[in-house]
Amino acid sequence: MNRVVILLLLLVLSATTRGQIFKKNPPKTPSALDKIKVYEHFRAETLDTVYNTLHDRYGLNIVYDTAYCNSVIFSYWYTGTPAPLALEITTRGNDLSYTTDSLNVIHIKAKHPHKILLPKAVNTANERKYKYTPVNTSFTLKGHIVDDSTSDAVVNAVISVEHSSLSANSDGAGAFVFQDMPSDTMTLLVSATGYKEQRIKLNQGMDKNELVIGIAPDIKMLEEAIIKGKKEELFKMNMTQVSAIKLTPSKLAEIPNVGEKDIMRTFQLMPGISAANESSSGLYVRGGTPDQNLVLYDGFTVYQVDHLYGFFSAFNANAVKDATIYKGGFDAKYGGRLSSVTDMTGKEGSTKQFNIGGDLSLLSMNLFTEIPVTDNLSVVAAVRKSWQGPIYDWIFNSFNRNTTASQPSGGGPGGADGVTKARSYFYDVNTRVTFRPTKKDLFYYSFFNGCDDLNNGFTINTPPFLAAQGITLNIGTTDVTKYSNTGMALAWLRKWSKNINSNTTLSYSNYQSSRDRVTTGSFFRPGDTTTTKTGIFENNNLKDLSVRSDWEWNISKWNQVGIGAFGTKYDITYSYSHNDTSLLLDKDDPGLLAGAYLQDKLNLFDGKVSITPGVRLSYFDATNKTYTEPRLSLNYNIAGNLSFKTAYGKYYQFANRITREDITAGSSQFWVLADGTSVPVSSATHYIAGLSYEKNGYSFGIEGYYKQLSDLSQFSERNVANATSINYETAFYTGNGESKGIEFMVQKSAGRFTGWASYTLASTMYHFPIYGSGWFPADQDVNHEVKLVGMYKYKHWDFAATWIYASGKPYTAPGGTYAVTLLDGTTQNYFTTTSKNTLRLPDYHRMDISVNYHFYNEKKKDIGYIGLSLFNVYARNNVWYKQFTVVDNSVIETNVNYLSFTPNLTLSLKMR
Amino acid sequence: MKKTIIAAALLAFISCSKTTVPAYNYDPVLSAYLYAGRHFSLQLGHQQSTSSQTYDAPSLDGLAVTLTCGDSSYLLTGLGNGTYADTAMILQAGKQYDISFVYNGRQVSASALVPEKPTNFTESLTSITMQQITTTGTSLFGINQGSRNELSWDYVSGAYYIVTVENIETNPVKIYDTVSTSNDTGRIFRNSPITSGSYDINERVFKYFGTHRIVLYRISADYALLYNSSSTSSQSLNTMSTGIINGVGIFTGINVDTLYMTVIKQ
Repeated sequence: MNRVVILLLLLVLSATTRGQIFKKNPPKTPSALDKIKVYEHFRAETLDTVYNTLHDRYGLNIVYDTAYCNSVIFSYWYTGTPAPLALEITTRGNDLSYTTDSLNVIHIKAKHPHKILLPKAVNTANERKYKYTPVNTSFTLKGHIVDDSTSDAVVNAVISVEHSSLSANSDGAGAFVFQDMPSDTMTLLVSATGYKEQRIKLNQGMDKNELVIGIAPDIKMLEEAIIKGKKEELFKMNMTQVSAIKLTPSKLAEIPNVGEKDIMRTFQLMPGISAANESSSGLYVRGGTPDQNLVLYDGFTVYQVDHLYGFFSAFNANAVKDATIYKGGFDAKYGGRLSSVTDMTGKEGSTKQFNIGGDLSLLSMNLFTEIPVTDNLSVVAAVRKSWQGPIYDWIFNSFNRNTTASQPSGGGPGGADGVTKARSYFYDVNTRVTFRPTKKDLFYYSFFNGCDDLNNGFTINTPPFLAAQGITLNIGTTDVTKYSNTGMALAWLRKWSKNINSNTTLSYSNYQSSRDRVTTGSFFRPGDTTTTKTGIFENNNLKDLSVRSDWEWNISKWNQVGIGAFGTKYDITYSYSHNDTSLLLDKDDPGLLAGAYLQDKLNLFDGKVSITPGVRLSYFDATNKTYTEPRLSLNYNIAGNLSFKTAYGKYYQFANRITREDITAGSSQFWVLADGTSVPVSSATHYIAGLSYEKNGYSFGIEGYYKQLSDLSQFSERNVANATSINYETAFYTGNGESKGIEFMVQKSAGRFTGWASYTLASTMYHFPIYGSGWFPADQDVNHEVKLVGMYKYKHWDFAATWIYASGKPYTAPGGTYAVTLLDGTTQNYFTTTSKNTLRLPDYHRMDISVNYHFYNEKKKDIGYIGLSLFNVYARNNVWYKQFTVVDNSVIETNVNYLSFTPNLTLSLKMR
Repeated sequence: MKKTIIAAALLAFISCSKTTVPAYNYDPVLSAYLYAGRHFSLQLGHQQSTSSQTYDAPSLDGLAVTLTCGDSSYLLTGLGNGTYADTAMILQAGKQYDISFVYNGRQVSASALVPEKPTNFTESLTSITMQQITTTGTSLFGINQGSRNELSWDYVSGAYYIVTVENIETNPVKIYDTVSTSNDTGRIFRNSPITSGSYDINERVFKYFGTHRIVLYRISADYALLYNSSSTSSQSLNTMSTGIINGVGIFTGINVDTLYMTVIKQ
């Protein structure tokens, strides 16, 4: 009886699985099937194509594994072959068999289902129908998560057990283990970014020691296909881990964007991550600044995430497989930042099929390719470069208006011709080589390089009438901001045994930025050469050479240990000078950070409670101190899909990015290493608690947090001078802060219409004695944020709209003016300020809209789209900051606004 | 419970939109240059509020202003209109002077070090000859030859200097006497602070014929900062850096040396 039930169950599972295609036409009777004669000549076609053809031309309803069938090449000449025989022929020698059910639906199945077992998205009705009594209880379940289409391991997939708090993550080889699975009637929920979520009903016949679960990537189904279960979501709240959100880069195109699909911009649509920062792709997470967010890409740290003044992030969405953000309370595995972690994994690339694609927009061009070199070696490469077209110039000028030099009107009597405006661009390159020499080992080498060359300068060349006199004139303003990232990682992932696996990474990251804002004038004629050069020079160079090794050890059914060690050699230099000669600040900070961590995930009370205590120890040689960071997180499954989550943690940060504000010449930011004196090691303590609930395609989440921040550093030139000297070393100030807030979110992830709504109530206050005895709102303090995101799919069309509201940020205004008579008798106006950040800018809000039309190939697979994005649809003048001018002891206030209405067109195509 | 949370959030939301009027800054404005070899005087003033509201700032007269140098203290004489002076003491190079007084309940104080006089201040030319330009549109480049007066002095490491050039003729004659030339062209020009021991005066900067006084000021760091373009953005608005506590303005030591040169009409 049990076998019959299992067979029925497998059939139902087969019929509803995600990753399979169910081609549905009106049911046919057996005799009708026999009457269908197939006349086709297939020459080296994939089985997927074959079944598509049989469906389209002969009306056969077929359920099959698209991934597997795409990998099988089939050749046959049918000359009036009856349909049942034609189908049987397709299965010969392909490890397949076929059956027909009562509705004449044809099921193409694997003969060895546990080896290419397809996850079966069981709908609730079927679950009820095929309930059966558990045979195995309290057993160990081991397995792998693999990509349906490539058979590659899926890393970092979350496998949770429904109606319990049990969960596991797949490791670098895709392996997972549950030491104490309550029974073989449980249902697993597998989610991974870039893949559709899957529900897998366990059964008695499965291989408990090697359950291979294939999950399908984002493959568009035929219109006729019946898709059971959930749609893949752009975002996925982690129902068991506090403050964790996963993003699916392949879905980024569904929401509005200007020019580029952008991972960081999309994260900004989530609660707790500030969205009102058009001039920064860096994330302001729960009152933290972008430098307090650790950004990891394939294991190396990225220190600069901006392109084009921060309007775009440095990450090419075409090269990223998944991205997860931990908004706080993160595990002992992560450290070195006060606020949050953004962990991105690059695409591995297919080992089976070559692929190439690209995006073309009014802003940039983006190309990527996946090259299967051998069965176990694959290469992914992606490159992106901007055009300096109208959209680029529009954004460039909007973010650069304060430093846009007015064109000189002549160069003296007679004027000067030949004014040349400089050009600007950005680019980035991603490459990843993945090699699997054995089933237990995986190596990858990932390389990333991105650069911005923002040149706002101009030159005036010698006009003809002066040249005729033998005079050479060259006047110009150089205003070049360059910043670049280079990162690489060599990683070795190994599964030592069924219970132990490791990930060892050697990485290097280099961030360089330079600011060269110089006005030069050279005047040459025989016997007389005059050269003048005035300006600001800044150079920041950060080198990070790191090694880390993370180990996971499943000791017992109730105990999973994570242990690791890490070391980073920093070398950070920063110089700041005026006029090429006076060096105002020259910092050269080498440092060594080394340490280890240990955490233990305990599953208690039949898996209803999981608690993860951990500790991270770091030794920092610049201060010669050891820093201890205790961590604790807890998840309690209250009932059904309702979970309570909480976390506590202590965090230290050793490298800080400091802003040197100078709007008349343009602000700049630079990284410095804590030295324990002028720049102390900063710290934070997180307290987080929340509830999450999921039902019928809706997710609800509430999280509250409180963060204490200590030894924060800022740079201000307000007190650098005394009677005898100017000392910029004293321009670093130290203070404390606290951040608190509560976030609400509701997400709809099923149906044609999906999206979410969120509201964040928050406060971030600082106390820096230099600004007085009181507390003041931090620059990034936003009290209220509302985000509404709606996406609608209709056939080939995607429609989406986002609306963002953020209450105004604080700012400081002149409170008084005065004049000083200078030594030459002239007077100069100056001002004093109000108390720090006592005023608020107007509220920020805007709506973006996008519409995409998708293209499908002959196999009806999505191979691209053409999309129109409208940024800031109602042209709201959102104030970026205010500019003040003192004239005759009066202050004239000017609003400098963010980007107004901006349309963009994108064409995206890929081979498959 | 949920309703309560939503209601609380909405209440907080509604109660947040308010505009704060900047409070008037009562810190007094000090203006004092401490020249070596001269008597000391101080001018006090009020800041002007940027708000449309009017404020009654306490009077700046009648304050007990004390100037201290080493162990010696001098109570300054109030001359009215916020002016205070001392006639007993001559300021000396190399000495530090501290001023203090209480204003509006707060202790205002500042310190200044009078720097040493620049040494070996020399010039390469005592005169230059230039042609007068009377026709609009004439190219300067082909007429006057770009002569330069090269100034030099002994540079003291870390010190700041500034050079001013002033025409001291009673009735100066313009070099560029064209219709397009502004009538109120300044007779004095200055440059940004210098951190070296030389400076060139190019003939193109002269506006008048006649004798010019070239003053080399040895200045203090706080004065040099007045020439820095401070941020004027709400993102980074800072009060100008001074050494004055609970006050603003300038309180700085100065020492000078002087040369002369003549611009001769061709």
